[in-house]
Amino acid sequence: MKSAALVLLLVLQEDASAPLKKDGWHAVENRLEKGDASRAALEKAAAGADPDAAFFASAALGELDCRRSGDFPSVPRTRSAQGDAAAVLAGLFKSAGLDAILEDVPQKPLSIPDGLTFAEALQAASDALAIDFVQAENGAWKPVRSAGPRPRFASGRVRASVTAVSNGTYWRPGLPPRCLYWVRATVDGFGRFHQPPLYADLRVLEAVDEHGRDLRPKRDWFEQSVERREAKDRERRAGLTVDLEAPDLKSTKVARLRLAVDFAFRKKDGTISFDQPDGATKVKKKVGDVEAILVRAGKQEAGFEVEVELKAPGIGSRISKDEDDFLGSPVAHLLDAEGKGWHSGGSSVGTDGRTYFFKQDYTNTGTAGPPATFSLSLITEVENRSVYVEFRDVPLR
Amino acid sequence: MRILAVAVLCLPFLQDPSQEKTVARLVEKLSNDEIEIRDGARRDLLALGARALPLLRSRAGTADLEIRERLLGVIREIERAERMKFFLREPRRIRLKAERRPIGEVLKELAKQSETPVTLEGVSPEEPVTVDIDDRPFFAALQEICLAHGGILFLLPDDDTYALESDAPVKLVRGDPKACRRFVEGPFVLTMESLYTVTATFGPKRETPPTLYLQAGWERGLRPTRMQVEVTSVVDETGTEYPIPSREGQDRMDIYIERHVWVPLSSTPPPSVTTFREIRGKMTVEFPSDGYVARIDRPMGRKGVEAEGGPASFRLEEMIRESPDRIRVLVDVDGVPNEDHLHRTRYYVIDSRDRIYRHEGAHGKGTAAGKMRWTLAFDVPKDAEVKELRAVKLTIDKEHPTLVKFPWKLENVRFR
Repeated sequence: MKSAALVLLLVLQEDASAPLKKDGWHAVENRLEKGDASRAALEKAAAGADPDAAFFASAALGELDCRRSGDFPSVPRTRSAQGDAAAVLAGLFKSAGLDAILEDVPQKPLSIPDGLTFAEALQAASDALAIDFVQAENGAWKPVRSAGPRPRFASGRVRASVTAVSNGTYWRPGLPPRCLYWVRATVDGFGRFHQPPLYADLRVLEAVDEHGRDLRPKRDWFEQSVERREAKDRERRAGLTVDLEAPDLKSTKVARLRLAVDFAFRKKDGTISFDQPDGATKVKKKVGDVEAILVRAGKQEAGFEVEVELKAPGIGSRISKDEDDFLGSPVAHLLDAEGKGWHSGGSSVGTDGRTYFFKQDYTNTGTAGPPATFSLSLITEVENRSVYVEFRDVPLR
Repeated sequence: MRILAVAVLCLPFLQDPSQEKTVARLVEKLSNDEIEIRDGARRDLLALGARALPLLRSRAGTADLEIRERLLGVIREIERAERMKFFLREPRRIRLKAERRPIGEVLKELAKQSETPVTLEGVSPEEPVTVDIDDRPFFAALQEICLAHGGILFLLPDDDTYALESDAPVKLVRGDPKACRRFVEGPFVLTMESLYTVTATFGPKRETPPTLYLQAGWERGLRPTRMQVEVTSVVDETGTEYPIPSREGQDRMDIYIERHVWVPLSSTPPPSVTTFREIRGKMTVEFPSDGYVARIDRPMGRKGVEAEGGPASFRLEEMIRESPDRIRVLVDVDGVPNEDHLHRTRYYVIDSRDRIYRHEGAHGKGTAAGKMRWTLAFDVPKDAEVKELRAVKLTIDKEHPTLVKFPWKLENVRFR
């Protein structure tokens, strides 16, 4: 009876891979309409062996995560509309709850079909009117002249376009040339996050040329990057640079470029403390997702020296900084048993993105007793939201 | 044992009698009234080199004031020249004959005659090569091996900024050795590594001039402090000359060795141009004006050990592995807290495979004893067995630098 129930469960469990692979972004939208009910099938497809199905399933899961946290509501669909372009667009922006300045929209008729998401409808309008839409500093959208045909992407709430491609070639006597490419793109549509991201990571999931060759660079220095945004900035457009390398001059385009932009948000602030630091070496602690190592602490001449190593994604953006210190030193305290502080002196910091090195000298001004606790304030937990983007046929030469 | 001890004590005095006579004659000339004769004697004494030092010191101890001053000057100059051999030495001359021998064996033979390491990358050591090299500098010999093979070329190590020493090997890789013959002058070599061009497929156009990358190298054991390569002309196969925008010189701030040189060209060679007919220029390599070296053998775990080496002397207080791939060293030196960048001491760890590691971080503090205590960190692989800790104290006289200069020319460089 139990095995029969298991068989029944297996039969009833939906296989999302095949439709995702076949219908791509349309299948993603269909899954999203089912909400969290489709999560199990999507997770299975995301972990599956088929890279296409895994990519689309991951994209759908990323969107579900955004909706679950309340950052993104579900995406409304358009009803067909036609008429003067400015009037149609005003209705479109209004339905999406976004401000727009539409004085410069060309006086042309515009027709938007049924069933598009806001990003897709905006893309359709851009194509029809040969304009682009950008966010002004106050967050309002406005039209600008189109920069011409270029690879674009629109699905759900996410809209992206390739803004530039450049290539650098090292012509090497006696050796094949080294061919480097930089694809620059902008991604928007994620402007409803409740708070600005702490940092963003860019993952290049797939980059293949027309011959099926992987163009992701094998070297360990990457220029993959996402522009940072200030908290006060209402615009949430991200500028991306994707660094690629081809083995020769035969690559003329990127047939498929699949990206994931991982936005990290503050979830929990905390403190990492080490008791009785004098003479300690290589003491490890884990708080949240931060691994902290007290590398060394002890007396140094008349003072006290502490050396700490912190490991976590985006750690450089997670350390609390002393706002009174013009160098922005980390907020760290060396206290005696009664809570009296030692005076912080010279410090040195360094980071390679995932590891943060911090060395601090302390002096005793005379009133504090022997060091009893060393503590450091930082963001100990972050929450990630991923936005997936795909470009097809990006010209390289 | 007693006989040996007596022999050792007397060693400085057991000199070749003819040399003793030569030294006596030259020392006498140091007091000659004619300046030309005094200068000639000084030059001849300097030419005798380190082997004459015991006799010269002995003479200086008994000579009158005027001669003693001159003799001490000669002694100082010979001692400095001896120290300078650590930085600038004679190039190796290679003699090598092979008749269809595996290239791996040929390179082993080459390694016996030169300290410069060479590795094969993507090339089988069994591939045969026939060469007959007679008394050629190391890099010229390597080029002959590549040309004789026909399908390999050598790539120079491209690392090491702010470093005197490198253990990076020269690599032999698949390629066409005739596309660019390297220029060799004694222990130095120069090549065109690449021409870099940037174009915009679409989007904003960026004004990026094409750049010629040249690369220099030198035999291991030479320890220059700076290299400058000047390009004076670039002419392609059609006779078109590419103007080179003038570049302003930079003030010297520190010892900075970068083996790459980039030279922007005023225009990009059209796609039909595949070859530079000629690239010409001048190369200048600077060495320290003086340099002291202090060493401690088998230093791991040792404490309170003195390393003698004049101003490079130090006392090792601690040397431990603080993590699998990091070594921490504490050294005490006579305190000069604000050392000039150009005259600072560099520290190196050398392992049993002669790999050299420079210190990655340094943190200095004054000690109660009036010395400077430096905490140094070295990134050393966990499998590396440390053989030596070395300190090198440099002096670079900006007014009278030690320079090696020569013109260079690369011909028929096929880059496309």
